[in-house]
Amino acid sequence: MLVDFADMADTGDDSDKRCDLTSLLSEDFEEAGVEEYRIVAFSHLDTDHCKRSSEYFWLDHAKKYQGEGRKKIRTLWVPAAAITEEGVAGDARAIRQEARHRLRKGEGIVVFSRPARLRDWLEENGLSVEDRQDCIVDAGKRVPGLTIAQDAVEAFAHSPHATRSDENGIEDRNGDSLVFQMRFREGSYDTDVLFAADVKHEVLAEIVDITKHHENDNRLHWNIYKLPHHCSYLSIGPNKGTRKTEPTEQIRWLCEDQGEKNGYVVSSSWPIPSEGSEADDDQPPHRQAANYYREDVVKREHMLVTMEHPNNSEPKPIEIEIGSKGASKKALGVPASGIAGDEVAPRAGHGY
Amino acid sequence: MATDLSGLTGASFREIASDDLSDDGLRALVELASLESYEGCSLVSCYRSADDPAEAVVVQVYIELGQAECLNDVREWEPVAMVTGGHRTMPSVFPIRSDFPQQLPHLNLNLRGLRRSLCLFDAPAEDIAHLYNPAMLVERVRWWMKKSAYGELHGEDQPLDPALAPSFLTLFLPPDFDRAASRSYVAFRRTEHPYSPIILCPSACAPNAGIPQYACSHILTKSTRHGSMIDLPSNLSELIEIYGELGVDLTSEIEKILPADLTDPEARTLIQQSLLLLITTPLTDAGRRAGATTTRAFLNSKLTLLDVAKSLGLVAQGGGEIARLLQKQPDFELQKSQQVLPLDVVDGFSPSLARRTSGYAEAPTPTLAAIGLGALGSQAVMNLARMGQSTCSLIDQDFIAPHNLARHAASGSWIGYSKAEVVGEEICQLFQTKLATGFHAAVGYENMPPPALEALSTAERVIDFSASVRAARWLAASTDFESPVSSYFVNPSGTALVAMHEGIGRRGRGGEIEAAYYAMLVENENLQDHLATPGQVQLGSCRNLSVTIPQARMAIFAGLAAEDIVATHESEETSIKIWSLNATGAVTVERQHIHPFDRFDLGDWKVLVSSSVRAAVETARADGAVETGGILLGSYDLSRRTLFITVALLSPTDSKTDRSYFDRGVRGVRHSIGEAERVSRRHVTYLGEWHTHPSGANSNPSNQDLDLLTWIAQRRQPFLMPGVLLICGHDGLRLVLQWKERTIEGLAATERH
Repeated sequence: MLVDFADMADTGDDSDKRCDLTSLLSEDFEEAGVEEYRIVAFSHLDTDHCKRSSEYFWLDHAKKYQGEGRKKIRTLWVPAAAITEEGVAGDARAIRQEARHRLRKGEGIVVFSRPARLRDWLEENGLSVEDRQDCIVDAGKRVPGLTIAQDAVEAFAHSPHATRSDENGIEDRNGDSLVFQMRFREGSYDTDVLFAADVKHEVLAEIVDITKHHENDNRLHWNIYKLPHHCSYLSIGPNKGTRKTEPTEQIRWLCEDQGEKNGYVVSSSWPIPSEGSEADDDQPPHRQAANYYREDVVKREHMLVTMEHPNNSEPKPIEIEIGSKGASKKALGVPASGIAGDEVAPRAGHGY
Repeated sequence: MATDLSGLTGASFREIASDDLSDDGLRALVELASLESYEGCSLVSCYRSADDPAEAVVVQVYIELGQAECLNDVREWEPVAMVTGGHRTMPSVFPIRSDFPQQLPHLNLNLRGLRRSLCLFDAPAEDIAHLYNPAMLVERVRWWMKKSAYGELHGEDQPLDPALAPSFLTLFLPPDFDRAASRSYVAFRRTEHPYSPIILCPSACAPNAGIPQYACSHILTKSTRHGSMIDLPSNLSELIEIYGELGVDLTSEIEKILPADLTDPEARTLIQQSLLLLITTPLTDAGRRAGATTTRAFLNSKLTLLDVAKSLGLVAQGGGEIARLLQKQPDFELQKSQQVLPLDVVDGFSPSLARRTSGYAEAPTPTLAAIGLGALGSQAVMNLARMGQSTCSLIDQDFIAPHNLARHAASGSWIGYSKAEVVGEEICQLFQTKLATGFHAAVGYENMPPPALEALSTAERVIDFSASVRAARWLAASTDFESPVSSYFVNPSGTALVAMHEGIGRRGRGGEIEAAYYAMLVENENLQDHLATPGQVQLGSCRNLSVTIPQARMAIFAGLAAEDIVATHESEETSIKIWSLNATGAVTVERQHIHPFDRFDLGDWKVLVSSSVRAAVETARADGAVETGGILLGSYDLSRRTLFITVALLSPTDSKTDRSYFDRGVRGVRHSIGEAERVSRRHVTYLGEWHTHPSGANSNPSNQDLDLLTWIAQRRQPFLMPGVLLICGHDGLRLVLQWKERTIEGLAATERH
């Protein structure tokens, strides 16, 4: 399963430390020995969540996106806006078109949405909500296609959710992005991973209120919290703060009460800027947000930042293993029988 | 900042630069820990001992803990010291956090006051030193820590951890050592080699005078949780203190060892002996379930019971007199100077230990009667004894001759002795207790001694290794016992082992099984040469071993026999098993389940028809459209007037058949009979004829059937055998027999389902 694909690295710039995502995922795919991704979820269609996905994936809706080496997707997860939004271009458009194609066909897609929200689009395409209800999951429901019993994992949809959709006809992307909990069961232990895309604190607060109202608190429990919006203070509270962002009550409950003491928060972001540095500006990641997470939510070393791991100069993918005792970050560089199987070996040959 | 390494080895350490390390392994460890690309551990500091060549590297190891609650206080980052005392020696690994839990399983014991190192491998360090590299060691430490955090390092199915630090001295317990009882023992060495083991035996079995002995007493303490015996004492004071923490008053226990009358010369001899203390502590697991016991021994050969008694303030000595003190006056400083050495304690060899080490802890152990203690029997019985199947009666009338030593289990000192008695004595010596009895007697004769007969009839299982036809047939026919009989013998060429099992209940008896065995040879193309003896003319019993068999091969057969005996203790199946050993050492196995025979009692004769013959005849009858028939082959026992019909040859191709008659042809008949006789060495031969009656017809013999029977009987008479005709009709299988012009018939009805 893949959650978002954005190959952001500038391959022409040697100083760009971002990974060659296409190569990394291709190697991972080959090693797994699978024929397709079982699930690819696009939390929303901002460029930093789908860049170059139209080059990496095999998309059914157009031949130009098909060919050897492209990776197939069995089931696509998208938020409602990925179906209905107009005016998108590039990779976002390609994903939108793919999502629409699959929804028309009625297979290989789950749209996170209040079903009625899609009525107009479905009717324009000669379909009804009832025709495609198996392809739609509303907030507060388990996502079809995964069960604990058969797959040892299930997903629970939190957003897009009704309140947001009803009151605001403007489809704000981040607000209408996927927020969901994945629950993995190994042995008798459940490990919960919370994905929150790029939502802001207001959306999270709504999700918290709705979830508590329905007494589904455990659906916001997490062992791993994939931080929203690249460690932005706006996902914690309205004010950045001088040194540390203060959370709203709902965020405090979500982060401090619902998280496991030894859990992890993961920020997919640039390194957390130090105070007064050039990067210490309005763009996330915000050091004030990071301080909140490091000081009040998890142990300092359990806040993982993708572009800081294991260090700023040579970041590498973070690997977290989910097992019968929960989630633990794998130590990097563990030698495997002395054979460097996970590295590309230098060329051998006669040389002439 | 320097790390506190006190208490690791007793020596003091000073910090050094990593470049100053002389140990290659530790230098490699430093390189690994310094790699930014490796997150398994990070370097803290390096040290060298001030007093000896020991060096140490302290690293923080990263343990991949999840969010599940830890059972033990192991943390995500644990500082450990890896300490080595020489080039390429596997380092010892010590957790050095001051509050690291000390009562975890798989922490090596150490002397009181010293820290405990991790027990990382289940093999001695010298056996894996050649595999050691720092990456392997660090990953092992990380694995140990993670497993210990969740209490998973010690599997529930593993025996509790009785680990004792290696010692130079070993104490062998007697086989019948009762850990639950406090008794007096003597301890002594058999040889004067340095570090030779000390043997423990009950006081009553004390060796001859002149052999150095130790005054020994066995003390039983209350139970404690395994892993909690964390300290080893180095002197008497610590010994008393450690066991005091477990609720044992060692002073009082030692006082009990003291003889009551200290003026008695024997008593004075006793107290002048070196003291050996044996202390057993029952262990419980994490759930407080009793699981095992651990027995520790402590010794100082220069410390006598008198010395200890004096330092404990129990006695005083003066003017050549020794007397008890009315009030204890312990000398604590003296106790601290009285060193004690822990011993490795090794269990005595008992049948239960034999079963456990053989993987047969749960195997049944019926009492055995073994007949025939020759090459195969003696070795198989000794194998069984070493596997814990040791309670047995042994019967044989033969004596050990010099040539027997090529394959017999006995040694040369037993030449001239009774085979049965020798093997019995060997088993008793193995366990140092009377478990086996040898009876010099022969089976199958009227004058069999009553004790041997009694042993045979009371045994729960009888194993016949005698390869004696007489014994086998006597056992098969005997009603003196109900226990099942199994026979084992080697074929004449020494290339196969044969087992015949009556099975519990003795539904199948030896005679039928033997007959089925010969039929098995005739019908199985893999066994056509089973009874061949190349280059020899062999008459008589196939079990008469007159061929050369190397001991290596006999040992294989004895091993197979022993294992098969254990595997079939509870079997009700009547069966035959043949292991054939080929030139490359491969063993192929043929087995056959023997179904009950149909039995016909016809006058003086008993005729038993195998289920395979019944099946063949009934199958050949099919829908009964036309008659069919063929030749009957089988074995016979004229002394018991018994015929065993085990093979039904199908209709020769030149036979003529119709709905109302069957003329048996001759094509291939002679060859088939000849082959059967060759393969079975004439144990399978022509016995009679069979044919079927058509559908709707019963099995009653017609006039022409009776004429046929007369024809058969005339041809069988020179062989002292009756004429036999088997007829299959809708009502079943009818056997018609003619003997001395008298015709008798019996019907084995068809089973109705």
